[in-house]
Amino acid sequence: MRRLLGFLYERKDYASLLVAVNISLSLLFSNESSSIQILRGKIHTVFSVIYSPVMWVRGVASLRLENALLEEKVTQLMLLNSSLLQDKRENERLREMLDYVRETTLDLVPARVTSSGISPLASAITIDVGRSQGIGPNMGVISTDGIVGKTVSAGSRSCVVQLLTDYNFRASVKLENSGTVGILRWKRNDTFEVWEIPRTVQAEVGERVVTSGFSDIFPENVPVGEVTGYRDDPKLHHKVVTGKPYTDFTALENVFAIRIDIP
Amino acid sequence: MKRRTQIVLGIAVLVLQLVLSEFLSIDGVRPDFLLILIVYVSISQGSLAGVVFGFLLGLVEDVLSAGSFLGLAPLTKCITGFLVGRLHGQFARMNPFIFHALWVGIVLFHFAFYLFIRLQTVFDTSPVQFWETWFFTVIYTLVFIVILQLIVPLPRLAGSSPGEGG
Repeated sequence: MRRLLGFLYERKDYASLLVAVNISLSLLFSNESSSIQILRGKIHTVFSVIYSPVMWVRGVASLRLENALLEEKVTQLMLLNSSLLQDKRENERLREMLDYVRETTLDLVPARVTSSGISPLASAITIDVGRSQGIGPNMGVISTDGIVGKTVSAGSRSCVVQLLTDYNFRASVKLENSGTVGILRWKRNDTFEVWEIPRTVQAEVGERVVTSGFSDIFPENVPVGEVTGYRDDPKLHHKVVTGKPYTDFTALENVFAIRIDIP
Repeated sequence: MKRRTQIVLGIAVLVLQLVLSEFLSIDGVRPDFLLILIVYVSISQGSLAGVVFGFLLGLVEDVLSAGSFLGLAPLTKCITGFLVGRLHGQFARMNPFIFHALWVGIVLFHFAFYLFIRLQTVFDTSPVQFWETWFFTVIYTLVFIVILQLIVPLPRLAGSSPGEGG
């Protein structure tokens, strides 16, 4: 035993590497365990408080620009609202006629982005709502422009949101004009791709891409972005549509988590 | 470098990574200041310090980073710290080109390993995109190491005395 300890002491760099690798692998293989998830949720909640001064400074710095943009957006929305009100009345009248019953109710919970982590890849953010506000994993997160991502884990007052810009993120979307459904995945340089689009479908540049509603995470018709082009690779059996997201992921501050109750 | 200095440096770089990395983010890619510190500490102190620093800073990174695999950063960073630490005291014995090629190679391996586990689906479905991401992540961090080289050259820290493994 003494010789073993002596050997380990002599080779303490190897011994420490062995211990560190073992602990790392144990953590890596227990990522899904509930105790690890709860611990991370608690740490994120504490970290949100520590990180809040940085977010405050960042918020103040971008306030003027944000105000100008909001004023512009308010005017646009006012005009849009007026036309939508007309559509709503017509829609309600038609629904009454069809005796339509809403099957789902959308509930938006406002949240602030508290951190975007320190990993070399910016693919997730933390927001300041969690289980105490009824937000759990696999709930959609949107901004006023369009979809942002989905929650992947939740603490009592914080949630980790996987961003649309994460290369592993997938969402079912459709081209608004044709209604063709495809799978969205992030590409690079502020672009996304929509796969599985049949070759016969004509995608128009500028056409809106919205969520398809074929999942419990995002309701139908949440804006995602617009078509910028397409790729017709002869090796593929389908067309790949490229698009630009509406959401500016470099300036995320306020978002909404979608709480969906299915009666 | 005294232990207290190392700890203070570690905390300072952590704060730097927290505050600056978001502003320096280009297309979702950020410089890895923690890795830069691990490379410097390992080269100047040896493998043991590299493993300890790599593991602790990696653990903090994973705990504070949203959406990452807990355990991945400590794993890759402690291995990197160990490997770079083997270069401690070796500069005088080596061809300078080989010395620099070795630590750059270890950094390249670090990111390849880290991204391979983090972006497995991308590696399977779109290898070109995977290697593009790897390339930009590596280049962005290496740029900062090169800038830092002008102020504190790595060979000066590597020293000429034989490595004692920590």
